[in-house]
Amino acid sequence: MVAAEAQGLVAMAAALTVLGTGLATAWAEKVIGAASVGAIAEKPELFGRVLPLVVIPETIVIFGLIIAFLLLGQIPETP
Amino acid sequence: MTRALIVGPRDDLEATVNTLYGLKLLHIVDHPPGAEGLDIGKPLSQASQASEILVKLRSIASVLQVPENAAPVPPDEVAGDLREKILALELNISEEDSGKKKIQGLLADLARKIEEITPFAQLPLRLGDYRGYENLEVFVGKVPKEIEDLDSATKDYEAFAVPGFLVMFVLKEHAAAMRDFLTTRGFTSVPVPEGEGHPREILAGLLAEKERWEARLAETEERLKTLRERYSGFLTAARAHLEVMVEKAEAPLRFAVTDHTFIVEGWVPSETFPKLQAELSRMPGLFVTDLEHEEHSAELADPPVLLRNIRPLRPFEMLVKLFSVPNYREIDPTFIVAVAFPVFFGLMIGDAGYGVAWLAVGLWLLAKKVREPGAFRDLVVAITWGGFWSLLFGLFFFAEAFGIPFHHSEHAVSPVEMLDWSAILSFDIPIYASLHKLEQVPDFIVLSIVAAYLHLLAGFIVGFFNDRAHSTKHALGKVSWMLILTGLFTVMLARTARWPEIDGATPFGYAIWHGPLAWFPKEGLPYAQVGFGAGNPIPWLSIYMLVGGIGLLLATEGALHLMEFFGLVANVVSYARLAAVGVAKAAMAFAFNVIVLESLIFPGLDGGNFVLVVLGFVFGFLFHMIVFLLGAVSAAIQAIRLHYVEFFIKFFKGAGTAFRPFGERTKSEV
Repeated sequence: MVAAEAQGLVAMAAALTVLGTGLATAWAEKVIGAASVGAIAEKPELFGRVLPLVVIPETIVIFGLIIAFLLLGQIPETP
Repeated sequence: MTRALIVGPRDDLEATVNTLYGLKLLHIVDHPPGAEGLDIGKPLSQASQASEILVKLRSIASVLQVPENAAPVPPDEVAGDLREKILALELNISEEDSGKKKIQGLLADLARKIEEITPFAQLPLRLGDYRGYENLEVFVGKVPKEIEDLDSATKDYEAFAVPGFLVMFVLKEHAAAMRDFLTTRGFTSVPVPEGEGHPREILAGLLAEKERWEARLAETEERLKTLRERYSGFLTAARAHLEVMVEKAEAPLRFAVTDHTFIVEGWVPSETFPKLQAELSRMPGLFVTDLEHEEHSAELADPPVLLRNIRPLRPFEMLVKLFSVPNYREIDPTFIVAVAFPVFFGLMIGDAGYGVAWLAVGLWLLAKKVREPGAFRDLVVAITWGGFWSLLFGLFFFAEAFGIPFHHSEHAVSPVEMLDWSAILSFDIPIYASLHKLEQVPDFIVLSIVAAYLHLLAGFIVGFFNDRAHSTKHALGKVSWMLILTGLFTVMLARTARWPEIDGATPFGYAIWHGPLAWFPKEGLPYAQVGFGAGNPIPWLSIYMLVGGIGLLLATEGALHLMEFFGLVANVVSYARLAAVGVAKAAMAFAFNVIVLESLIFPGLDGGNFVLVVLGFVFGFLFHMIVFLLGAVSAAIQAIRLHYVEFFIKFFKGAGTAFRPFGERTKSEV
């Protein structure tokens, strides 16, 4: 029973990690994306410069994913 | 690049410009007006006339709506007096165009009149009936819905109504009350059209008139269309001809001139300089020489850059240029991009089915659709190579196609999980998966980190050679980064190599640590709290590399660069997106397979209902189409991003000027 509870908590923690980092990434990309489209409308040749800026926050969710997998590795075996 | 200097008498200016334009060898450097006491030249005599005709031609082209990519007629057909031809055409077309505009105005006017009179035409009253009363007030207007209890305001009225429209005659003394009543019911008054007669007849007349004018408009448009078909080739060719003429005529603006001579400076690829010299020397009075220039002189701006790669790598130059043109002093990183981009793409897709599909689609596009060289063709080439690598990885490494493995995993329980290609083809495929995406995510991440190490190390090595040319200190800085990166990488691998076996399989980290990296001294510092037990201590060598690297970094680049250490850790981890995209795509394909197989195909096969089976295949095709497109879009973007953000920032400075010889016309620039 205790082990099952611990298992659930770890799984919950992993889920929360991905949820939080996913939301953070989405928010950051929203802001940058809107600004970038404005910049591209003015100067289309900026596309190459702007694309990396837009995708930079994706690293946040990748970190979340890694942490989630590290957490999942901590799940105790079911009794 | 060689700095070329051409000096000649002003009388030969035009001939020289023509020759240079034809040679397409010289990247002209603009002479700043007034520099060194020399002024810039004046445009050739035909410049103003040519640009005037060009303006007229562009306006004609826009009236005729000549498509941008219309096929031009052969150049000899635009010879002769262009000016006369274009002026005649302009006269012809402006007449048609103003006629068309007039008719459009008339039609708009008619449409407004028709709209006004339509509600009146439904009532049995003549237009004269609406005005000229002494004791009556007339209300005409729109109503939102039928108004009931009109009698409540006054009884002395006569009303005519059609849905949404109301006409009412009221005695003058009751008019105010009725107006208030109607206004509260949403009545808006409408003016009565001028004129006499019955509205129905007027409407019929208007409609007939509209029809006549529409026919006229169609005729005019037909004529314009004929003109477009006849002249679009001519216009395109003439435009190209004139643009060349204007560019040539305005070239002296970029030259330095004295009273009797002109001077042109520019860059030529060193090996073609003799050709330029030979060609120009044929003209008497011209003096051509190469200026000595110091590679690092501050006076001269950097020479332009002409990227030279072997043919198969050339499409990938586009990906580099999209970020920035390399500058004259650094190594063009295209050769690494050309290998790493398709490999990353292949790792992320990693499915033989999608690999074959992309390879086929790419080759088909290249052969049939995207024939013109340009950025789009380059992108298609890059993705075709990506498809090729996906096929390789999908076949020999992941051993799956369309989310269905060649052999089902030992953990499979449900019938969908049990399904594999060996069973479908009833033939034992002799290739086994080295990595099962959905079950070995940590292994996939380890693989990504290995890719990160190799990729970033390549970046630092290129950076080392870039810096070595002008500063040993910065070059040593790159060495310190290589040490830090290697130390970091070995520590990460040592931690992943904790267990020799998980679920009966050797984890990748262990296999690499004790396989290809077996030579690496393994003794070190155990630190069990964070996963470095006695079996896999933090290697001393890694610690030395980290400490030594940081020390060297402090000595060469300064303390501020220490901050980038964390950036480097983040960069390495960032490559885990290779695993993330790969797993997400595989999971999507698997989920779609479950939906289609469990709810349509399996029940259909069991019950002998072939409609269900066919439906299942249709849905399966649609679902896989989604994975196919979405997967490629995200894989391409992530692969590009890994280059732009993680890789280029390590060494690539860019900001070069692309070599663009005088006389070369580019339709679209990247």
